[in-house]
Amino acid sequence: MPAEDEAKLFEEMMTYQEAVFRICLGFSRNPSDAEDLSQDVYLKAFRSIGRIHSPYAAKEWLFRVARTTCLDHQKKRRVARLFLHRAPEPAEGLERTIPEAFADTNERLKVLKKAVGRLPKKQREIFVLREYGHLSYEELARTVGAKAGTVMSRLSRARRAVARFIKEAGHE
Amino acid sequence: MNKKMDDRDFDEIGRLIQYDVDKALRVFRSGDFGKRLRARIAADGRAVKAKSFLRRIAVPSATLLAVSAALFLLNVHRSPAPWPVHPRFFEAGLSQLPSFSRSAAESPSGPARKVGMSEAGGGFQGALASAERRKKEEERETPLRAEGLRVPVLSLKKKMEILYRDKVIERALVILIGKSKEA
Repeated sequence: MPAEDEAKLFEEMMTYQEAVFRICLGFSRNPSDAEDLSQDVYLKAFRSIGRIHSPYAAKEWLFRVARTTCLDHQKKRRVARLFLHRAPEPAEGLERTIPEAFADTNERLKVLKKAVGRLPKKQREIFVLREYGHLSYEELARTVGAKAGTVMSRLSRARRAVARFIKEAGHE
Repeated sequence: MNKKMDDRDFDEIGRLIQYDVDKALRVFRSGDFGKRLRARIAADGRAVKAKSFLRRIAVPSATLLAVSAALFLLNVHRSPAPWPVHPRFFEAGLSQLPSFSRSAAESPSGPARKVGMSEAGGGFQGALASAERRKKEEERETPLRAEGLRVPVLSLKKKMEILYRDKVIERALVILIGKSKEA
């Protein structure tokens, strides 16, 4: 691919920066980590932009890069937590000094993030890509490499699990 | 009833996620993501260049370092000599020996013969002198062969016959001489 076309394609990819950021936020559960991850995603995309054969596939390819980057980051964080015992859960990193009106929402958000973190890997990625990235079922299927039906059932199970967790946390 | 509860829960999940995303996006939009990304891409390009240069010199440097370290360790852990031997010690010892290229007459053992030591009793010096003499004699004999004169190779029996005849003649001569003296 000529350099000019690559530059154009990269500019086009930059229009999805908020979607990429949202996906990274869903996986990392922390805004500052999400921004760092978004930069990682675009850096990877920049390095291997020559591999894209069709500009129409750029969006899905970018989301696939985002997904793998976030999953790698989670794996690294899990290993670091295992060995260093000091990397805190991202949900615990929420600010403590919050207005009274948002206290309850923030508390429930913390529970939600905990619930998402406890989902099995396959359900979690579908849940994040759908709820945070707003990907369609077809896009989801192509991004994770599964059938649309599988994606829908995984999403349904993930939603139920999260809802159950929130409900149980509310009763405690 | 249960389904309705689930729907409400899902709505609640949607609202919470939207709240989280909106809050994070406000911070994200306030910063210049594109500018920061461009700076990072430029830094990455520099890092890649530096890495490729380092990769090019890493292998020879590591090899050199390993060889140096191995040599240093060998030098440190080498067992010392039982006693310090000075090269002059060998030099003095060697100077006492005759040179193979010089003749026995020129050798530093000349004075030993002057004081009356026999060649056979002269030990190493004597043996060396006789060996050199033999060598000279051989050298004198070799030209005969080189000129093409053939020395016949005699069998032991033939040699004995010649010797016997010699002795017979000698004895006969001795008897004749003795008789002539008596006469």
